[in-house]
Amino acid sequence: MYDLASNRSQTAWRSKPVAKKKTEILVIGGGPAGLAAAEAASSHGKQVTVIDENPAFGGQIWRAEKSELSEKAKNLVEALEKNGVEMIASCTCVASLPDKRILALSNGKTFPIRYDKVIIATGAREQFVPFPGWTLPGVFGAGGLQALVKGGYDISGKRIVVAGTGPLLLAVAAYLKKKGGNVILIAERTDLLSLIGFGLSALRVPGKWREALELRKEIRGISYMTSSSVLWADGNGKLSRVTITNDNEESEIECDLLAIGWHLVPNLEVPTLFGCDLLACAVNADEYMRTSVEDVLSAGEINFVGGLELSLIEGKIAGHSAAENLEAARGLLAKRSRLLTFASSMLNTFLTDPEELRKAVTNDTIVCRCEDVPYGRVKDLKGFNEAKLETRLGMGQCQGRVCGSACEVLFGWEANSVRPPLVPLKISELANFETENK
Amino acid sequence: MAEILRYKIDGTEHEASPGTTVAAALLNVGVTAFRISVSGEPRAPLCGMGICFDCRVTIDGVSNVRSCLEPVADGMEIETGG
Repeated sequence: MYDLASNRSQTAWRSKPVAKKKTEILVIGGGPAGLAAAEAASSHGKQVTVIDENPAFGGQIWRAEKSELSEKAKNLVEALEKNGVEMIASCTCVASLPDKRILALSNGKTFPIRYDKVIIATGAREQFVPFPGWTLPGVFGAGGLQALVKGGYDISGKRIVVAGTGPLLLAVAAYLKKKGGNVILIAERTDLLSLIGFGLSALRVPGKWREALELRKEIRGISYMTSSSVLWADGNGKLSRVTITNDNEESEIECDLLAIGWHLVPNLEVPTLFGCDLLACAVNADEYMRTSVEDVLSAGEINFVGGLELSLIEGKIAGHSAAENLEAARGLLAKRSRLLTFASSMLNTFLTDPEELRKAVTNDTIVCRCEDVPYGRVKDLKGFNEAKLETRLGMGQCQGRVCGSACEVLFGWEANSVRPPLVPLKISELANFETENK
Repeated sequence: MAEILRYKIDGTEHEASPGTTVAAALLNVGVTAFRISVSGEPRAPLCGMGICFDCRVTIDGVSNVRSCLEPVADGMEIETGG
């Protein structure tokens, strides 16, 4: 039998060996919310384990640059390790098992982790909306391109168009420029008046205006269009130009890379596995971050996509709450509520009409990238299930992670692809199952 | 850790600095077809964070590895176009 684990041990980067298979509080996801939760829970003397699918902690916003943890993540991780928190990177939760256990996958091995309480903090991913040419190499999610650059992708001199909507576009454009990218255009879908309205509401939040001014300085010189979006992307085997519309005028722009960002959507696969109640495409947790399932808590962007500060505070509340110290959690509730209000106002500014997003799609536009299912084959079907049965949409390697939310936007369908294992497993990985007694 | 990592893409040797992900390394040498889709189109990373599975390649004989989640290691052998 092919032994994946021993074969890869010669070359591949290794996460630390798994020391314990049993913990009091298990945190799934090592981004800001998960790290803050671990810190709060361990401050009450609880034994805490944090797992994360990525090779380094910090989540997307504190993503490591070439495996060097960002300053904030580094400080937190070091403090956690000092407190005896067990940190396991490159470790994926693939299933929820009976008797308060998860099935974890790491380094080609599967093993159970037993917990008393679990805090899910799996964060958010980018919403992708299909348009003609979006499958061409060179088309990336905005956050996706930023993540790849942090992973060592050298973009110096590349001509880049940044498009979509939301403040993330500015942050990404500033980052790409700093890394030597030739950012030629930011195309923002939202109209100027709504943006001004949002800017004014942001002024009421301390610190936000300074952030905005800094960003403006950093993106100086990049042309910025409002009411503008990408209609299609072209190229022979890779991206070479995009066609954009700006106030109903079309123009072609030669470029090497397109970074396109819509909204973020919560990563609901893990909470769904646990059977947590969902509400409006997010986990329905109470103010103490308790979900509908006993001993299962959730924190951060899976509850509401509201940014870093909100994730941190929710993480802290969840940590205190999981350690059964509601008193400590209570002191943070007012701040959380303020941050939620601001985050909601932002969401309303950049809410894009689904009708607008559908306009760009043609019958040939691929909707499911794994199975290459075009829009024309699914548009008249009745729902996600029927599309799966008829066309294999949502049944490929990504298990509907990309086309699921795309279909929600395009057709209003509720995607329901979540089942264990959460990522495709190899027989060898299951065969390498380590029991708790080992 | 070695200052320069040597690894192979489809049999050809390349170099990368430590901490580079396999996805970034492939993009840096100009690979566009990380994999070939079921209808024969070249595909490259979209999400950069382990969601889309479009960056999957074969690493050291193990197929369907998400290259965006895997750092380059010395001696690694990567196969694309699967």
